Amino acid sequence: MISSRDLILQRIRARLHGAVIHDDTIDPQPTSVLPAPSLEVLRQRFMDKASALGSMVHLVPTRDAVPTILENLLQELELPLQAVCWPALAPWLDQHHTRLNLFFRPAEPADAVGVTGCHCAIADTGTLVLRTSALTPGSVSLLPETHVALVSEEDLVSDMKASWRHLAREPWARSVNFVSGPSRTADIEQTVVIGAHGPARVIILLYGSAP
Amino acid sequence: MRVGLWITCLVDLMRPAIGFSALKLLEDSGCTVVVPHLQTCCGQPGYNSGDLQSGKDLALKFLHECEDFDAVVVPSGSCGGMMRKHYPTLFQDNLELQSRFTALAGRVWELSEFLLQRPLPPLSTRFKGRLTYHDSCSGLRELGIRHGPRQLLQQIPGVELVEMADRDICCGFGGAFSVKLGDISTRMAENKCRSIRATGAHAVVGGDLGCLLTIEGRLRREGDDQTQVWHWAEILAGMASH
Amino acid sequence: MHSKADHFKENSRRQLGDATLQQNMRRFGGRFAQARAVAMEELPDLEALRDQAAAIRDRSLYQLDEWLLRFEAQAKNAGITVHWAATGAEVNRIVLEIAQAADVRKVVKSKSMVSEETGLNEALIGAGLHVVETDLGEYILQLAEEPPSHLIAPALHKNVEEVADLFAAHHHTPRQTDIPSLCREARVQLRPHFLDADMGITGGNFLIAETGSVVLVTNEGNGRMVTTLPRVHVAITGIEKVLPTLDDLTTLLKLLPRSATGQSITNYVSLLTGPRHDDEREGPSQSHIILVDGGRSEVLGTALQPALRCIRCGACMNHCPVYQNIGGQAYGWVYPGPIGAILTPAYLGLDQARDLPQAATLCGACEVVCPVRIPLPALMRELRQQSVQQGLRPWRERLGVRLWHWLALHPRSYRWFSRVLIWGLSKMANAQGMVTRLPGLDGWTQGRDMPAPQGASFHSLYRKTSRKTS
Ligand code: SF4
Repeated sequence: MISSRDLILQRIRARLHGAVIHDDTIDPQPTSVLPAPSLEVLRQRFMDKASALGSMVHLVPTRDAVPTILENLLQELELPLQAVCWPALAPWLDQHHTRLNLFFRPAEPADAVGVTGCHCAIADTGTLVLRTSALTPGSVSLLPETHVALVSEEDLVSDMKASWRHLAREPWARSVNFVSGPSRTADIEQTVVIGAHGPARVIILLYGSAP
Repeated sequence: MRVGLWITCLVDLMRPAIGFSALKLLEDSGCTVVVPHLQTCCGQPGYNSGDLQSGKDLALKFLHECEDFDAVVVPSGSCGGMMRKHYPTLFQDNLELQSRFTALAGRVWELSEFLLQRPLPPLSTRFKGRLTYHDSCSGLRELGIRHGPRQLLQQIPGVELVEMADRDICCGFGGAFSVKLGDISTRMAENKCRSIRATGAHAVVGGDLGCLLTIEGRLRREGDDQTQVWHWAEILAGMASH
Repeated sequence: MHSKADHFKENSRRQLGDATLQQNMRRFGGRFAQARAVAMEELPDLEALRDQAAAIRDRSLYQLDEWLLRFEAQAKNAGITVHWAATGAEVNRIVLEIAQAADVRKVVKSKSMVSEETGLNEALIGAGLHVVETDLGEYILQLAEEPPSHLIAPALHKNVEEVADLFAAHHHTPRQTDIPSLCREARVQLRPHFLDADMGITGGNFLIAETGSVVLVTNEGNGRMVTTLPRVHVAITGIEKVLPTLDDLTTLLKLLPRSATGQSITNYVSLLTGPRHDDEREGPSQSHIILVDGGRSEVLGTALQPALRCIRCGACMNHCPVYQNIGGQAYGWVYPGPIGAILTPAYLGLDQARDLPQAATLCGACEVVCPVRIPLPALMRELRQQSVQQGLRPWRERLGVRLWHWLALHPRSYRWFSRVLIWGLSKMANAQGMVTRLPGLDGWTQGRDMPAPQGASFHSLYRKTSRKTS
């Protein structure tokens, strides 16, 4: 008996046989190649767009300042000073001088705050691009109510197309997630409510590289 | 300029005043107007009901009757859409016919488009009152008619033009749809009448008689015998008595 | 899903008479359309983008076999098991086989319209599995035991009070009536299911041939949950969903969320490419994709092929005045609105949905918003032609059309007929000049009058004025 695979392929070929090949006068790709915007422009655009989507963006001068700022932030929001973090952050996210209690592992149901880095961030839409791996488990940006993303200015790219080039530098991950703000739903009365199954709060700490 | 005036089957049957208004406006703007005397229907009812052959036959009849004019003018966006957008697609297996229909399509005008191409003679007409304009679907989306009729109406002293909510949402006519799915069609007409009344306008105007019959029929059924219903050409030509 | 598409007239009449539904549609049916209009202002090159999107989808469709094979090879490389299903029944069988082999008890689902086509939930529940829909709208409908009424907001027809009743009855919790609390309640109720489910089922918005990935475009995060937590992931998608490249995806993603909800991007766009890697501590250990035909291949190469470009944004129904008055359930099957009026007869057979292609005024509001430029009115007209050819229209309608055709080709008879008609209508008119009942045309007169003719036809009056004629 013919397999469904062969049957389907056979039908497709029979149907398309002799079909007029489509008009390919239209280049399917947007052609405009704009020069890469400056860091200031990217930073501002990213902040504007991310805020518009409901993320809170804070500028942090350097990476070293992140732990203290994170501590203050959690305190301000009356959140426990405890968080699950990407194992990839362990080498530098130093909790020694703070009261933070950080765990470097995939998230568990009880975790209230998840801290991740990000592979790159898209200025045009205010989007975080996260790849899963043993060191960057996806659950950390998904299960906790509050997601804190640590983003280096160096990783800002202008648009999704540029992010593909960024992603192509490493082996393809099991799951690549473009995250644009806290989860939401509009399934009741087409009314937008923030906080569905994913995080209800996304905080972005955008840190610079300057000393 | 020798202009062929296409009356449309609905105007011929139900409201000849629209045809005479169009005739007057065209003559006033200096055209030699010819009314092909064998004209009947553009073929849209059959074509939209799935009877391709009747669309084709009537397209050929139209070609025969109107190909010689410098311009063909029609006081209906949906008939105009049929002639300009659909006729040229009906004969894809006959290049000669296709190119003749394409060429003719370039000379087909909806009345407001045509009038605005030419210097408008001074209008002797006056109309005192508030009007609201319904955008008929085919005229709007197939021919892009939106500003023209409004612009013409605003030249009449005494006209106050107000916009209704959902002005470009279908009134529910849809040709045979209005009979086949009368319940839905009626509900759409009801919505349209609600928007019209909310403007407080004395009259609603449009550019397609199908819509006007739907709207007038619904208004009267709802007991509204105040709100008048006019083709904009009737008002422009001074044939709207009120 | 069992189709009621051939009862469109009854269905729509019932929906028109449902006061709550009517109120709901009027109150929030148009919100997505407004949001779309605002979002599109951000795209200065919208029309060019729509051309590109249509070209991208055409390119996929015209070489569908090649892109599917490329996808299959890449997906297999990534460790995905690729299944092909010719029919809905085959989809259900494959999912059950996977479930049995992996000893699955509980299934959590993210939205999958194809699984609605196949009636998957009933099949799984029938086999003793516990199935939970996790998209908020789908969850509401699972509780209400109703089919979806919209592509992206499946419970659009329900108002907050109705949802409150459902939740109170099923969750045995105090009744809450504000939308945020209800969303919160759903989150709390569904979280444990995500955590202890064995299998996650999703649809797929796109398949990417160059990487072998399934793309999910979601807002709630449930799509990520069901593809991260359970041991087994099964994605079910139509064969037409394949895109050649990631750049193609980029272009379509500019249009999909803006057309759908007016968002510049959805909260989550996930590219899933296989099971967990050896060193990962989470993610499914089995990853399956079922490529479903279910009538799609039959549409290729026909005049209806452009319908396969559809990216399920819902804009056509958000802008359809017919849909906005009758709601999605009147269409009787999985896909409502203008695109449903085409896909349902295309997939199930025209004789199974005879009135759907007639369910439009051809006003064109759908066509001007469709991001992939599907000529929806032209396709409905095409289906109307097929209906006539297949003898599916009632004899009275056919007779009427033929008679008109003949008369219009015979001007003398036509003029005579006009005179009779005008005379008849004038006779029937009341003092206000309105005809209130028209035998045979009560579709018109049951809710409207028919203004009587002015008196004589244009052509007879014109002849009397003895002007120059051609
Ligand atoms: S037909 Fe077009 S507008 Fe309608 S859902 Fe599909 S893509 Fe969207």
